[in-house]
Parts: sequence; structure tokens; C-alpha cells
Amino acid sequence: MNEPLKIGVVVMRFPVPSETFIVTKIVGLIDAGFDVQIFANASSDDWNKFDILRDRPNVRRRVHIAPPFRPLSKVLTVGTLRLLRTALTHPTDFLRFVRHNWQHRRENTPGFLKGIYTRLHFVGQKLDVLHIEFDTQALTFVDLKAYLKCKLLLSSRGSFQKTSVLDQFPDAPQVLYRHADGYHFISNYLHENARRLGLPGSIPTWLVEPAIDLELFNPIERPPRQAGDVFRIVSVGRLAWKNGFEFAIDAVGMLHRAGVPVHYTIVGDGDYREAAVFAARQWGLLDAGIVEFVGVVPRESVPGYLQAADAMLHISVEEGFCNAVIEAQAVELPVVVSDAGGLPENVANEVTGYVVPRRDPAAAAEKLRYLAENPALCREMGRAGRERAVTLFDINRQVEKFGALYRELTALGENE
Amino acid sequence: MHILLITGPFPRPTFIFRMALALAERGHRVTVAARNRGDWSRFRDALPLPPGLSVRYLLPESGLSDPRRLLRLLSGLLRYVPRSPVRAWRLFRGCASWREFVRYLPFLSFPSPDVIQFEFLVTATLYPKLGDLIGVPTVVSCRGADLHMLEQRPPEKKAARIDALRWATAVHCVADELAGEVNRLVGRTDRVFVNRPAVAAEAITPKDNYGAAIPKIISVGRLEWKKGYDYLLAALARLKRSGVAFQAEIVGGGALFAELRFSIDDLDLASEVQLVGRIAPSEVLDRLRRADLFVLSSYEEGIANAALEAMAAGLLVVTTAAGGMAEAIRDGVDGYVVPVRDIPALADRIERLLIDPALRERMGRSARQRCLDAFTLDRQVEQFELIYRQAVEANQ
Repeated sequence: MNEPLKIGVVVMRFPVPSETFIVTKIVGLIDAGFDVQIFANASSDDWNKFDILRDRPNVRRRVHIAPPFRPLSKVLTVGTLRLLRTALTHPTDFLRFVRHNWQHRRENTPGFLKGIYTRLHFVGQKLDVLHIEFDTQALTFVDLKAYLKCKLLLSSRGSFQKTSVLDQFPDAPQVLYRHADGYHFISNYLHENARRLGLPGSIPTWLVEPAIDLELFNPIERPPRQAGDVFRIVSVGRLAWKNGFEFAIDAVGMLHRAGVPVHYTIVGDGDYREAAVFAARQWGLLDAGIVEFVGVVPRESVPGYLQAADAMLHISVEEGFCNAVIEAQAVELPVVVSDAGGLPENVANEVTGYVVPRRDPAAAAEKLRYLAENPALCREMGRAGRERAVTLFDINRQVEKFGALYRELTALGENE
Repeated sequence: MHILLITGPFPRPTFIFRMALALAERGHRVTVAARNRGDWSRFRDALPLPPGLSVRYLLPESGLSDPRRLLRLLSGLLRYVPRSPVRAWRLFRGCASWREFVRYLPFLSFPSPDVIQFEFLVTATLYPKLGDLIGVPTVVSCRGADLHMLEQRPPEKKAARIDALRWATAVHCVADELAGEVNRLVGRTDRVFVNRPAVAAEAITPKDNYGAAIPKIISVGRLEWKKGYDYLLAALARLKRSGVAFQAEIVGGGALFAELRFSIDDLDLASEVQLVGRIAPSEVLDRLRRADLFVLSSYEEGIANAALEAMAAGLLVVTTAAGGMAEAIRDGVDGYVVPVRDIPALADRIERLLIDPALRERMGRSARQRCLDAFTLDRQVEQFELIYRQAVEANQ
């Protein structure tokens, strides 16, 4: 009874700066007494980017990494040794694992041999809950629930429809829903989306929003901006298709064309950089120094960029939930977001910022212009934003919610 | 004339295959030197190649962990080095790396051409010394993205492209707009020639039924950001909200397939918009003939071959003013030209056409006539002959 719950968290890599919310959550749960084990597909070089991990060297021992999958030379050397070592140190578990993979060779995506090799790091583990943090990557793991004899929890952090998983496995969501004992959503939008995809009502669900670092994202005292000063807009996010940067640049281009003195800083990088830079060049904003791409910055420098700005712009075309928008509110910035996915849940419309229709740069430009012309409103919305962030997105609150979730999930069916 | 065409993959893209074929049929000797082996399955009906046209594949410089590629490299070395060992040795000493040696080596053994045509600016950047090595004038083609994206390339790639625009004996651009870019980028107007793409309009039967009750919009192109499909979908979502009836299909494959599928669903367009994927050229033509208007929402283009093909099929085109598109489509005559990134304008022109079948027919017929007048293969081939002759004269 007093045994701590053993939670196995499955991620692609650990720790990753773009998934800081997972790191803070895991550390919070460990501090709260949960026995968290982390299962990653590949190792990470980003350990020293996290202060909270530097203070907790034992977290490293909780990370289990899959054998290398490429290049072939590594599979034949390091991988084969791992395979032999696992077979020798956990002979019965290993045999059972081989048998499990044989029995499930048709229903899991890796198949028999690949299934054994790529998931070797699960052999000999005893868990109460297997928690796959990104359900869009869960297809290769869901059958392990039977091997580990534990509850399976899936997290939905982004829309399934926009991934290419559905091209290869059109019934992927149904497979997940068949195995899941519980489903966690980071926004109501994703919950509704899963219902549209056929999530049965019999699976218990939880809504737990990610938390943000309220100490790191802190407002600073600044001289008040006067109407007519350059209006400094900031965006923080991966330069990915879903973040709608082309539309954001359009909005800034429209403001500039309308004669509003404006500056736009984009923090982040990604495979859509080419498109975003092209948009800025096409509007003539790059050469004029109005749009600035600062690239990826260390996490601790992000608040500085927010503190130097007057408003945040985030008009995605798809969004599960956006931490950057909460962080901007925590720094007392008014935010202009689109109504894509979970974004409207991230903002109190007309209180901490504005929600505009997605793919409508003109609407975003209009709200930004209104903010630029009303510095007092910006301050008021900023303060309301900080209050909202503090009340709703505190890390302790999130860890408590997850603790309760895990306890409720493991208690399910125990009375039967 | 003996023309050496240097290109990436071959026989695709189709327009390069067609060009090589047309030159050979006019009695020129054409040698295609391709860097990659393309898929011939869709080109079977063009075989055997006319006697004037021969295709040679250059040697692989990378991906040599693939045994087939390694074998191709080794057999190539065995074939080419003994043919002219002294020149090969001199070339080897003059090259900075073995890759460079392997890149130039085959050309020592090719029969000497009168002119070299690089089909893409990026291909030309790989062979800056070739013209001097075999003493032949060079023509470099600029087709759109190579120039429009140039300024945002990494410095060394940008410099190599700028260099190629300077060392080329002649520069071929597919649009006036691109010739303007060449001038802006390197200040060159000397021997910069515009030769617009062509379409075999006489071989295409145009559509004859313009009276669809629910008009069908079609767009053909690779699913990548340059094509601006996010803007097209935004415009279509507006039209649906304002109660206009239409059907639409997006033909092509590419990196943004899943994203567009999501967007169609997200914008509640699933019953109007169909994401067709990549299909055979003949099927594209069928779909063009069954459609009622062609939309090109790109913000980066040279002159889109897909749009020309649509015009040849008797389809009007609503296009953005990207690149040289306004040189192909006359605003208000063969369709409409709207500013890039302008969702309301795009929606407005599409709507005008959706509700007016007579306008669609008038513009559609005009678009077809424009192809027959200004974008014929004969005109294109003659222009190329002129460009080659001028390059040869300049070299003498």
C-alpha cells in the first residue's frame, strides 16, 4: 500500500528543451514521491540545459534508452551486446518478452524481431502505469501493456489528423482506443477531437493543462510605452507549418503598410523557416529590419525577449495547447492568438488578449493595431494575464493533478 | 548543332524530356548528361529515342554505401580513365577533391558539343570549370526558385549561384521577371535571354462544356509551401461561409499532404475539397478538362507549367502575381491575376467566376488561344536555337 506508484513515461528523447513541460512534470512527480522511470528512443545531449536536472543527478538513472537503430554498424556491435546482456541478466523476463512479441507480432507496428530489439529497454520492468506522452507516437508501444501487466495511459498533445501516421495506419486511433485504460488531454479541443475520431465513452479521460515556470517567466518594471512608439511584437515557437508564421508575418506586413511603427521578433527555428523568411522578404520586412529571426535561444533567455516586447502574436493554424502563450501572459504581455485548436482556451478573450479567426491575418492586424494605439489597455491586459497564469498554470497544481490522475487510474477496476 | 544538356534527374521532369526530344527532332544532336537515374516507366511510349538523342548518366559522388552506386562509380572510372589517361591525370591534379574529379571525368570522353546547356542554376554551380575544360560556351537556365530564393541561401551556396550567373556565356530565363532578377542580383543584361515555357496545346483536346451547375476548382502542383495552398484553403473557407457552392480538387503529392488533409477537415471543407494526391499526367489532363477553373495560389513561381497545361485544356486561370505568372495570364482576359498573399482578393475573383459560366467560357477559350499563339513548342525550340547560336558566336 505504501509502495510508491511506478510510472513509466515514454518519450522520444529525454530531456529535450522543446519539451520542457515534460521535464518539469517528471521532476515534480519524483519530488512528490512517485517512482518515475523514463523510456526514450534515443539519448539526448541537452542535459546541461536544465538547471533542475543538474540539481538531481539521480534522474539520469531513471532514463532507459532503446538500443541504437542506425547505423547498422552500431546495431551489430552495441545493439547486439545489449541484446545478449539483457537475455543473460533477465533470462525469464526476456523469454517472456520474446513470447509476447511473437504473440503480438501482427498487431503492433514494429513486428516480431524489430519489436524485440527496439523495445529491449522495457525488459524486466515492473510498472503500475505506462504513460505514453505523445499518442501520435504510441502505435509502437501500446501492446507492451500486456507484457508489463500495467495500466496504459495515453496523452494527446496534438491533433492526429495533421500527422502522417494516418496515411500509413488509417485506423491508428482505433488501435490506441482499444488498448488505452485512460486518456489524458491537454485541452478540451483535443478531447473533442478524439471524440470525433471515435474515442469511446467507456475510457476515462482527464484534462490536465501543462504548467509553466512562473519564476522564470516574470514581468519586469519598464517605462510605460507611449502611443506612437514602436510597437514591439514577439512570437516564440518552432518555425513549423502549424504555427502559422506566414500569416503572422502577413499581419505585421499589413500593420507596417498601414503606417504603424512596428517591430517583430521571432524566436525559434524549424523546417518552415525557409517559408517564413521568404514571406518576410516578400513583404520587404526583412531588409527594412522590421522582422527579425533570432533563431533558437537558450530557455533562460526567452523571458528577456518577452519582457522586451509589447505584445505576443501567435496565430497558429493548428494547436493542441500553447505554453508560449501562457508564458507571455505570465510576463504581462497582451496576446493575439487565432482560434485554432486549443488556443482559445489559452487566453481570456478581451481580458488577457484577443482571439481572432484562424487564417485571417487582417483580423490579427486590426487587433494588434488597436493594442498599439492603446498602451493603457496593454498594461491592463498584461496584468490580467499574469494573474491568469499564476492561478491556472502553476507547476505544483499540475503535479498534484497528475498525481491524482495516476492514483485514480491505478485504482480503476481494483474493486472488481 | 550538338547540344549537351546537363540536368539532375532524367527523364523527369517532363518539360526537360520534351525539350530534348524537340531539339533532336529538329535535326540537332542532343546529349543529355544526367546526374541521377530517373523513372522511365512513364516515358515508355517515347521509346525508342530518336537517333539524335542520347542519354548518359554521370557518376555518383555520394551515397556510396549503396553497393550499386559504388559499382557504378567503379565501372565508370574503369571506362573513362583508360580512354584519355593523360587528360584524366591532368584533370585529377587540377581538382581539389576526388568528388570534383569524378564529377568532371566523364566529360573528357564525351564527343565535344557546340554548346552546354545547364537546365538548372544549381546544377551549373557544380560545374564552374566545365566550359573552359572542354572549350565550349555555356547556357544556364533560371526557372524561378533558383533566383527568388537565392538571397536566403547559406552564403557559400549563394556565392556559387551568383558566380554561375556571371560565368555563363548566356543566361536563359523562363520569364521577363526572372531576367529582371538576374539584372538586380548581378547587374547582367548582356546575353540574358527570355524563353518562356511551352505547352503542346494542339495535342490537347480542350474542354467544351462550360455550364457546370456546381463548378469545380482545380489546382495542380507539388504540395509545398511555395504553392500557397494554405491561402487557397482560407479563400475557399470564406466562399463556403458566404454560401457559394463549389467543388475543388488539389492534385499533387508532397511534404504538406497530411497538413493539408488536416486543414481541409479543420476548415469544414471535407465535402467540397478533395486532396487527390499524385496521379499520372494523362489523368491530370482528364481532370483539367472536367474542371471549370484553375487556381494557382503560389507566392513563388517562374511560369508554372501546370497553369499552361490548364490553359491549353481550355481552362481559365486565377493566379497570384508570383514570379512570371502575370506574363502568361492577362488579368481579366485569360483569367485573373491577384496579388500574392491576398486571401480576400483570391476569394473575390474565384467567386466572380463561380457564379458566371459565360465569363468562365469566354476566359477559358481565350486562355487556350493564348497557348496556341504564344506558348508553342515550335516557338520555344526556335528561341533556344537562337540562344545557342548567340552563345556560340560570343565564344568565338
